[in-house]
Amino acid sequence: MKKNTLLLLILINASLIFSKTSAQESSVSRIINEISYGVPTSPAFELLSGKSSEVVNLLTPQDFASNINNLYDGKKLRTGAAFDFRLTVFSKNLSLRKYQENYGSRLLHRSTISLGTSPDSEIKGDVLLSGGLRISLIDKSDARNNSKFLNDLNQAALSMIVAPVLGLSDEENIGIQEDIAERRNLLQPIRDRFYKDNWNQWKLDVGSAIMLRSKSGALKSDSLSSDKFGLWIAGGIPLYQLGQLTASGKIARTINADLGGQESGRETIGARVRFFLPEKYKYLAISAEGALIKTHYKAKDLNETWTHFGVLVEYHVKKLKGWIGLAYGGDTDHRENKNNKISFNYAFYTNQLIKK
Amino acid sequence: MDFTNIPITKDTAISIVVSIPNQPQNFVAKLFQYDLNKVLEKELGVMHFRSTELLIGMPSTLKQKFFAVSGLVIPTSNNPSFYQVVVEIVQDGLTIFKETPIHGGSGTLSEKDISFIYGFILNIP
Repeated sequence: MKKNTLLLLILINASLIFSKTSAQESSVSRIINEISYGVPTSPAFELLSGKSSEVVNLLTPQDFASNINNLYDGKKLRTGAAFDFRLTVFSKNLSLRKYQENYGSRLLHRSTISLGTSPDSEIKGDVLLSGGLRISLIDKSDARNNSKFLNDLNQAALSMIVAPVLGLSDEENIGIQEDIAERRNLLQPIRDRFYKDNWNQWKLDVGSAIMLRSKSGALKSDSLSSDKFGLWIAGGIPLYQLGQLTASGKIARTINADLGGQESGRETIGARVRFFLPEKYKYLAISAEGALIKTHYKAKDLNETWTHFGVLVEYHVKKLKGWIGLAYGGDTDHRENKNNKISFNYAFYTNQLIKK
Repeated sequence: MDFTNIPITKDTAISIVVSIPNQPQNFVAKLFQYDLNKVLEKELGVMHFRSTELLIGMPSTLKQKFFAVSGLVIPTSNNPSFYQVVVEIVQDGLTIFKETPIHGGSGTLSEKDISFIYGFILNIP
């Protein structure tokens, strides 16, 4: 009986410590995660509230044919659709060689369109349709466009290919080939080295999205009205091998905002610097960021401007197999910042928060 | 192993082209030659995205031989993407036969390398 009570007390105590630790961790992570300094992967879904949780990647023209019914049934838009696809999904004659030789081909292949629908929470039966475009104008970390990396990868891959045994089936031969590749594992170290050396390369991305409101889900011009749009731009600059500076700007507008408290627009500009010590000293990482946010309302006296800043220093404690994070930051005064006032926080956690 | 029978009518040099023509995907492949008893004779050469064509030889030297292409499609990004390998037999600069390997020749590529294999016989009169 005594033993059970003791066990119960230990469990309660452990759960209290855990919940306290994870609350501290979230207060630390909030300081560096509140603002994104990149262009969203699928801009359409940034505008769409109540979007589907799963985005379907359409990889082939056949994927389009089999999924289009989930978006439009021939008469009305359906809600809950969420797709994205590359602009080159229908293209022919886009080999890796052409991709490397032609900037236009690279630009097209790196560009994605996202489409999604959700039910309008204000008017029953109406549907919100959002479409977005993301273009990667510069991406020096693009593995497909790095001849040395591909050459290293291919030399290693060729050394693993063995002559098929003609007495065996195709499946058996493929099984043997895959076993050899898995056992020798020559490619992953080359990939790891490439990603380690190129994580902070030059990047410039732009994105845009527009959301339309469709009366009763009809897809006719007189049933559609524009509701929101957003524009994003973000760039990354390497700071030697140790760090990266990312800077971004975002504009969002709600076209038919009401006269009350509904936000009609928001602009955000900001930058973040991340530093990691070299591989053999990889126990310290630093992230510092600052952003300016402006919000607009139809009633102009509600407009606000505030700044966000944050500094997080993470130290890896080898013996405890975790990280200690010391964070200072938050938002200057504004109506929304009940939970993110400027403060000092610390936490201990197992997974590093500052990511490459 | 499965073998596709490819009829050859002209007495000019035969080449093979292995490519992924419509998607920017990386691959490597080797071509092997076997004798009538399916015993490996030699490796004829390698193909990859920058060098897709390989000379097999003159028809008179290729009678009663088996050929096998063995390759790897190698992902260069973690994002899922489609790929389709095409094997072509070429004479005088013209494609006389074209096929996608059934085993591993097309599909969705994500993080894992994918092996493909293709066997053929040149039907030379």
